[in-house]
Amino acid sequence: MVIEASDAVLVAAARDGDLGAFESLVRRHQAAVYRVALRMLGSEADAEDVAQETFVQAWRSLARFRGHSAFGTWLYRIVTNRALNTLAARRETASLDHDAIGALDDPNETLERRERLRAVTEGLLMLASEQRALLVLRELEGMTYAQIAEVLAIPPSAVKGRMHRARLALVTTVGGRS
Amino acid sequence: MNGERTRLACGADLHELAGQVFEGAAPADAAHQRSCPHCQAALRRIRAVADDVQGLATEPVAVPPGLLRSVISRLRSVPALVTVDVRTRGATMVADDVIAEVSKRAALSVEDVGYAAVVTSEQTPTGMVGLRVRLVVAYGPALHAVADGVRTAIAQDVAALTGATLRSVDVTIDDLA
Repeated sequence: MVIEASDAVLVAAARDGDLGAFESLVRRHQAAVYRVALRMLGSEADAEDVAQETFVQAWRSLARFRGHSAFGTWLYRIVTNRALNTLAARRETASLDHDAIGALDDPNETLERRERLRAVTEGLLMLASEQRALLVLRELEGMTYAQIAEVLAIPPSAVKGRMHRARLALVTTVGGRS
Repeated sequence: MNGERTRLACGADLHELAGQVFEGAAPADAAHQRSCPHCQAALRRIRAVADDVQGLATEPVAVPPGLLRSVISRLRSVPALVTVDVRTRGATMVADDVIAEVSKRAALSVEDVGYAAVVTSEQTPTGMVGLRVRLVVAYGPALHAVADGVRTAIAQDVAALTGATLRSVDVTIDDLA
């Protein structure tokens, strides 16, 4: 019988100290955590560091995770905050890691499409940190406004207006460069 | 379309146009929009960026192959050792992780158990071990019977394979499948 244990079951076991259960959670959520870090930071090396630190912090903080939100949302909060801290610590604008665009070696991908994705990735990286986070969580990760409010610890009523401004900033940035 | 100005020459609000494109919201004034060159130009530019953002959202991102291993190796501490056999020629020690793994496999061998997580909850100086077991069990059979079957299987395998003596096996059924 093959049964996929729910996040709640795995979290309960991990809180008991079962590293195997936590390993299953990492395997399940590593793609989303790494993706958010990569889109926020634009560097594969930084994204891997942040993703690793996110899971280490999650393991150490499991006792404080009360399950009011989904485990995945909690991880989004940790990785987003870590990425924002990394951005704040950078003295200069991030240099774009071209591999951050994705599968650039795919021969079926047209040059034009690659260039468009590169432009929008660069546009994201030129935005203010919070605007970048808003767009990554909403437009790339498909989170709801309520989840984003929780992840960024801002009032739900403020998300919509800030999202509008972030989208316009992206349109202006990408539109001005293309 | 600079960063400060949010209204077009025709008076349309750029925030609303962006919301219309990104969120699929209804136009504030559909009739005006259809015939307004300012609105049409702005909508084209917003749509182009929105399409590219959508393209980025569906772009596969490869997870670094070593990420999982790096995380787990950082979290793995030195395992506690359980003394399971002391004889004149020396003592045999078994890591508590090994006892947990043997117990987990024993639990999974029991019919209707679909998931098992086991940690050692205590070890005594005399080599006795307490275990905490969490299970996901198929819906149907009596749960106490499944739990008893798990206790029996664990006790047999741990004794046979590691030599450790179990002090207690606390079973929690976390979920039904």
